Amino acid sequence: MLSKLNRNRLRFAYLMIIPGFMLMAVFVFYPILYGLPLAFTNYSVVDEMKWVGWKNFDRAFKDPIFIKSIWNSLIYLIVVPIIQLISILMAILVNNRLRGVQFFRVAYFVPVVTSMVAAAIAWRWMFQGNGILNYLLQSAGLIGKPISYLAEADVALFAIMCVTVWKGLGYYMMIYLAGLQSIPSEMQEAARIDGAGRAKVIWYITIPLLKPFVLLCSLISMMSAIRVFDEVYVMTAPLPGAPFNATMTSAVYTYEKAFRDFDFGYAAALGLIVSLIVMVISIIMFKYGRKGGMSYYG
Amino acid sequence: MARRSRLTAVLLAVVMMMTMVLAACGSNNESSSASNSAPPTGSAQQSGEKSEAPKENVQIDFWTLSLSPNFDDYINGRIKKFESENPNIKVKWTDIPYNSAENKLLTSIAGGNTPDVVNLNTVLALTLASKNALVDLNAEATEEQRSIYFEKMYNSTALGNSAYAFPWYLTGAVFMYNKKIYEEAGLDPNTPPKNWDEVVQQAKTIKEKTGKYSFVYTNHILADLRELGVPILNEDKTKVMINTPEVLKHAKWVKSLYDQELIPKDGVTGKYTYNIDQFQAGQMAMLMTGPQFLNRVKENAPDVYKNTGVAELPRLTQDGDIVTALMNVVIPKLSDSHKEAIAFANYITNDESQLEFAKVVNILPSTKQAAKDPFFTTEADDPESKAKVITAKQLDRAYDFTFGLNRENDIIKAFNDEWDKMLLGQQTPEEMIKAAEKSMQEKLDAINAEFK
Repeated sequence: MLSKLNRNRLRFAYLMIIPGFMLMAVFVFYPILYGLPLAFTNYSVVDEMKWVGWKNFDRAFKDPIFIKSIWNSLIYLIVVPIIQLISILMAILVNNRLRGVQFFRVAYFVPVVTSMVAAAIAWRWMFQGNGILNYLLQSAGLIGKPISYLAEADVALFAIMCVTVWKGLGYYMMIYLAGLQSIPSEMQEAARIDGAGRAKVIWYITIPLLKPFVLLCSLISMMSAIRVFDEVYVMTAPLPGAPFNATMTSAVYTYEKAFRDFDFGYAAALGLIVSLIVMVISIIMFKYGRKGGMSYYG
Repeated sequence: MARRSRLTAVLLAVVMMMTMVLAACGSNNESSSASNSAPPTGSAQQSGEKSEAPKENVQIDFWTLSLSPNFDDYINGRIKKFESENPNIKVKWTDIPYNSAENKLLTSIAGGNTPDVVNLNTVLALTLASKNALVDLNAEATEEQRSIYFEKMYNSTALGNSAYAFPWYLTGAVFMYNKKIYEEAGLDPNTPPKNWDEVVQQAKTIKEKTGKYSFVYTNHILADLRELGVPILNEDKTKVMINTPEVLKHAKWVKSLYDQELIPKDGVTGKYTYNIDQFQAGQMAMLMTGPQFLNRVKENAPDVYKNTGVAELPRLTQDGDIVTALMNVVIPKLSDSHKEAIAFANYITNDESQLEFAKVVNILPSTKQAAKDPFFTTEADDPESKAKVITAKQLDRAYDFTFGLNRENDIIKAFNDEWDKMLLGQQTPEEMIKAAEKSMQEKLDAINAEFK
């Protein structure tokens, strides 16, 4: 039985949740629920809507560009472990009590607050045949001929991934930094007294204790990677997914179907398929990434 | 307990994920009710009934693309004149940014606030027409209203026996070149190329002497093929016909330009955007596009502008049609004042309005009488004026490329993807033709199956 005080607190808590929940209900949950039946129609906003059954899904599984876009989105997941690894190292670095460390914390965070469109345009220039990247690599003697990174089908997607990694590091670094600061210092001190070196402390103490944060960051990062849109759309303009769909991701293709072709029913079906894929990956991540934090030692 | 909270956490996470992925595809209920329950007033019969009795106090919502604030005086002046001649009609003008036209229009239609007259490019007009969203002007406009335009331009938005837009303004294409780079390469800056052989020759010299690229091949390839006499589709639009010697020859020629490194690979993906950026930066010698970009060069790179020469665009053939970027005005079916909307759309695109507009900005008219005005043959010394005279000569050959098919963008994209693959060395011209033909045929079959 809850005491009267606790009951009042609980009521107050619910009261505080209601406004946010209402906003979510109107702008998030309702569109989701509306999107589900939409996937079974030929909805185009401007024409009469008809129920088409499983036709959109049938079309999706036979659509080579959609299959390619899903594949590209899955390849894009490569950024997830890369971002986690680098941002953990960055967090450890800026967690030191050094003079001027605040500057580095801010500097690493700058890409996060930079507009993705502006950043993507700048990166696009850098990746051009006569861009600064080729200039630097050629000056260092690492490459002979300049490479058009965004025009080479085998390279373009990875070039765009670099932008995602660059942009995301600071954000995840901040989460890991918060995680690091929540780790009780006694455990690390105890390990040091027992003779563990700096690397061993990081590997056996810090990272296992950060595991709940790794799971959280990986999940957010995974969802962002599968939904990647801005970088691809801006860097491959005026032909989204260029060259010849080598960089087409599921979000860009869904957007193109919805807002270029007004094929909202089909786009909703594509969105549903992608969300099911995200769900499966998330369940796997939950299953294998759950153990961590203090439970690691339990 | 721990198990239950884990389950709750998983459920919450799943909901969040679905939220994030699906939110972009969601819509609102009003939109469906608007498109379902609002009675479409666009059928010819209904409109015909309306046309018997002129309405009192009609308001026409007129949307344009990126014309404000530069042309406020011109548009407001035309509206005022129209209103004085048609006292029962009031026009409310709204200008929307070019890039958000689709979203704004959809949101507006979904919210039940359909504009009556909308300025759209041909691709978007055709996309909306294929969704049954626009008034068929062959059915609802009068012969007098339709006959003022160049026929090729009026037919740019034709699907079958219907046509869905009044053509408005257009821009031709000119050859712009950086005289300074020509001088650096030892070329005569007053002798621009007259044909494509000379373009290639000059590009080779420029590359050798300065290391700079000259151009990006920005031509609409399917329009190139049509200019070269390739039918592309058979007469009843059921079969793709691109496996011809002309296509192979053209493909080999364009590919050779890339193989000789006369065109940068970045141009395959960046197209005209890349070409314009590089031209403005003084890194590229030639720019083959609409003269309206002269203004952009003038603003962004005054030094390059000072050295920019303008000449006639080299053509693949001497007498072929010329692809142009056409702006149109359409009337959405959900407008409840078809007759008045058609009258205003016709007015804002008539000879008088277009001639006045052309005098304000470097565009060309789509109406026959306006094009005959001496204004289009009078040349001053500045690049813009030269460009105007050059492009005005192209008017009777100008058209906006279209197959007159629903969802034809799918077919064009299928071709372009295979073409780009070839340019980037992923397949030979012979393989490209086979792959493009197969891919285009699949799209064509799907379209014909869906819209028959």
